Amino acid sequence: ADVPPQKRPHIYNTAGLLERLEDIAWVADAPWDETQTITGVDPEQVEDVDDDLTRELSFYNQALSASQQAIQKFQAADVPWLRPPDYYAEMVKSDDHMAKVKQQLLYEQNQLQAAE
Amino acid sequence: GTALVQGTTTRQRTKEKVLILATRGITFRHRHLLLDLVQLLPHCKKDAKMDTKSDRAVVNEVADIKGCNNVLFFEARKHQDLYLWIAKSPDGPSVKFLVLNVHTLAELKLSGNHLKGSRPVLSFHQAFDSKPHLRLLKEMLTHVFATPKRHQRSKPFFDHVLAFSVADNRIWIRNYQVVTVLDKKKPLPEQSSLVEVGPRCCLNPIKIFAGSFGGPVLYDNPEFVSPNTARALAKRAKAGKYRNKVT
Repeated sequence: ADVPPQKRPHIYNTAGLLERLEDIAWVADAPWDETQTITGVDPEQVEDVDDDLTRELSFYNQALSASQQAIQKFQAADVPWLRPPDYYAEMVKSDDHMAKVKQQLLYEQNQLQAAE
Repeated sequence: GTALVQGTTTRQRTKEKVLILATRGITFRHRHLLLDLVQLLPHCKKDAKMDTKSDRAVVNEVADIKGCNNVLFFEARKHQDLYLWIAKSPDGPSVKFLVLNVHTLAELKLSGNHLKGSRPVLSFHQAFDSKPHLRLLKEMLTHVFATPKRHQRSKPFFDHVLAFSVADNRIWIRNYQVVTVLDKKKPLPEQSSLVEVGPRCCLNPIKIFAGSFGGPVLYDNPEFVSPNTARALAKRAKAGKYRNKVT
């Protein structure tokens, strides 16, 4: 009764994909600051996606390099990008939530110290 | 329909707006993911839950009424599996993903934070330029996730980066806060670091369609195994354990 899972058809319509891309594309022709997109130059991909540390480190490095390049672009174009220290506005996480995050961090630190 | 606005250049450009909606039956974690995305996209409109069984063409109608030309449609199955459609409305193309490894903003281990409505820098892995289907996905993801410049609900500061990476034929999404080090009020970009804010998830592409929620299939992922099949196989592997032992 062991039925192998049905093999999926491999469809890859290169011409169709490129045609649809051309229909919708505008990002490449727009000024950089419209989308603030940065594409990496490192073709290396994570080999073992189950290895959490290596995988997350690779994503982190990609994002860090992109953010540094972006800051250089902002500075080269002389655009103010840094939030002034006296600028207060709504954040994605509330103060209540951040207090909980801090509490959790302290708790974990205490646990570590207690274990030593 | 699509609203045309005058850009900074003389060229007419399409203004991107995103409709976010889900079917009935999504779990709390998936609903949190949806609400987190609403927070990240000041240019989005959220609509009421849809009936799973209703025709997907209705989604295009809702997008038209709301004036959105992009759709993020979360489709829940069996109260456990989550599929995400990203579509250009009304003419397509569209893509269907299986959503995996969901973590939301509510989780305490993600300790970053950033301004609500600040425009992100989008970071794409080099692989997005290597294959036609990934190039198409990059364009669609950019339309959805780039906050339009001078959007009335956006803030003119840079403090977070959205990373799209490719590994194991899947797309991994991360959102990081950028922590800048200041020296005498001057920022030092080389010393900046990141703290993850969330949400995070992994998108496994299943199919790309030429139209919006339908039409000819342009791409079909040959390695995709539906979560139903995966569960059935795991169950069957377990079932043989005793029989193999006694014979």
